[in-house]
Amino acid sequence: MSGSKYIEIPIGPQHPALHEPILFRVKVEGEKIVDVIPSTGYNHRGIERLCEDNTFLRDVFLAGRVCGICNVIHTTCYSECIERVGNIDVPPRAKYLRTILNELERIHSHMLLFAILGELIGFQTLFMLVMRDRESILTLKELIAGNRIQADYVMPGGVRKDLTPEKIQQIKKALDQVRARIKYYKKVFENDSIIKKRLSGVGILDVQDVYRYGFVGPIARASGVKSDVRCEDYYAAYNDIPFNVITRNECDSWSRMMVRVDELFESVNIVEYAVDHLPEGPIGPKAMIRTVKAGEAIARVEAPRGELVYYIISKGGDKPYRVKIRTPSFNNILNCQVMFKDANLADLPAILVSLDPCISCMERLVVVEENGRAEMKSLVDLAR
Amino acid sequence: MSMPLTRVKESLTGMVRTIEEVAPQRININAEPRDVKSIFRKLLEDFKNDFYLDFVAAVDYVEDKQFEVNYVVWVYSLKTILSIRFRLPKENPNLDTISDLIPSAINHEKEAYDLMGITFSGNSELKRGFFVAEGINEFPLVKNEVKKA
Repeated sequence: MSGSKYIEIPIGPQHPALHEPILFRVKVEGEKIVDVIPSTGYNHRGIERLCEDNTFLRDVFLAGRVCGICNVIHTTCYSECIERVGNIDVPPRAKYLRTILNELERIHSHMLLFAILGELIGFQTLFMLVMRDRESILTLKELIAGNRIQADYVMPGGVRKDLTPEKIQQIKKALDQVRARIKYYKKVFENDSIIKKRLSGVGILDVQDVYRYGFVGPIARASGVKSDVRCEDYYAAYNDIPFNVITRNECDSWSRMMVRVDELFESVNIVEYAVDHLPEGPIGPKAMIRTVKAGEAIARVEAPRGELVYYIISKGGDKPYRVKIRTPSFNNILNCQVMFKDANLADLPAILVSLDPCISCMERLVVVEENGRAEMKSLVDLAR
Repeated sequence: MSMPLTRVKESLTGMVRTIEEVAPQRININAEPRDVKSIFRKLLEDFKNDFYLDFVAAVDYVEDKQFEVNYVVWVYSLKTILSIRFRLPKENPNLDTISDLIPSAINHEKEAYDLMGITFSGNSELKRGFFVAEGINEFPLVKNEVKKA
């Protein structure tokens, strides 16, 4: 590049190291990264606007489609927000069931990340092994919710399906096996020299930058910030269930993965405690909640990638006036440039995967229903 | 009065119009748009390294012919959300940027501009196409600009 000592390398919006469309304009001096500018706009789906035009009840299913991997936590956050606006009580059993499914989601989401990490650093065996073990969690999710991925399980006022004693036994048996596998993966992450060399000391995130840029979730906790919505702003049954908030102080990509590894043990413990202490009683309201009184609320939950927030305004009736969604990846990905400075270009995929990027949920399909028929339209058509 | 409300009132009284605890762990604050910078400067002085900017939500209040910009802050030690609100006219809705004080604000302001058309003086990175596809001139979340599906 004439007149400049830097070369700008575009990584994305389509790239083998990226599983979703986003562009990183990477300025390099030799092999060293000088700056990274994330560029968005390839995947915006207009879900907030769509929520305003649909009913509170239909929006449950829209919320569940903001993100495929963490759909349960999105419907949980949406429902918690509706319940705050409408002062709707949730039966204790439903709170426990929400907790169980949310923690199973956290386990399979973290395991997916470990698999992707393996793929990106050229450790294909790790990818295969983790994906095989992750299947048992997806089977449990299907056992409880009826579907492997898209659960549509949580509804305002409760959940849609109950657990039987037989299913509880199946869950406990599967978790025993998963715990043993997590122990094995922890050993791999701690001892494998390639993983340690690729991740240790790479992508340093200073604790001051966590506050300045609002990093959330495992990323903040791996820089020593003890922040977890599950014990700060109680929702579901987390105020009844003992668990530890995992933090580390290495501030690098390896510590971000290790926080997630240790969180898996906590999640397994939480699910075991919840199924052992599952209260008796109903799992939801007698009738679907279709209208919500006028008011507004902010609900926060701890998604696998960090704090997820819904802000809903109701003017009464069956449709929301405004639905604002702030996903953890908005804070974590759009501010990630602070972690790349002075890193080598080859470290970029490893740093990026340590952030567990989820671009779709950050940008949030334009599905327009006309005459009772759902069709795909471009955003340009929607705007006209 | 709860401890979080007392702390917030100690910090911001005189700079804002109203401070109200609307629910446990939720404090709403209404203020004049001209004070946005001084409010966040004071928060940085009083709660340094104890809070982060959670999100910025813009709301189109059609009946009031106003936009509301809602800065939502999480204060770790108080375990409380501060929702700091500013009302703006629909013609030329503008606020001073706080991105020079809180770097993460830059992206929240870019989103509020791209989806709602609110400008932030001093933020040189405002652009269309941040989220919304190129070729769209309308602001999708302004209620009278996009026909209902």
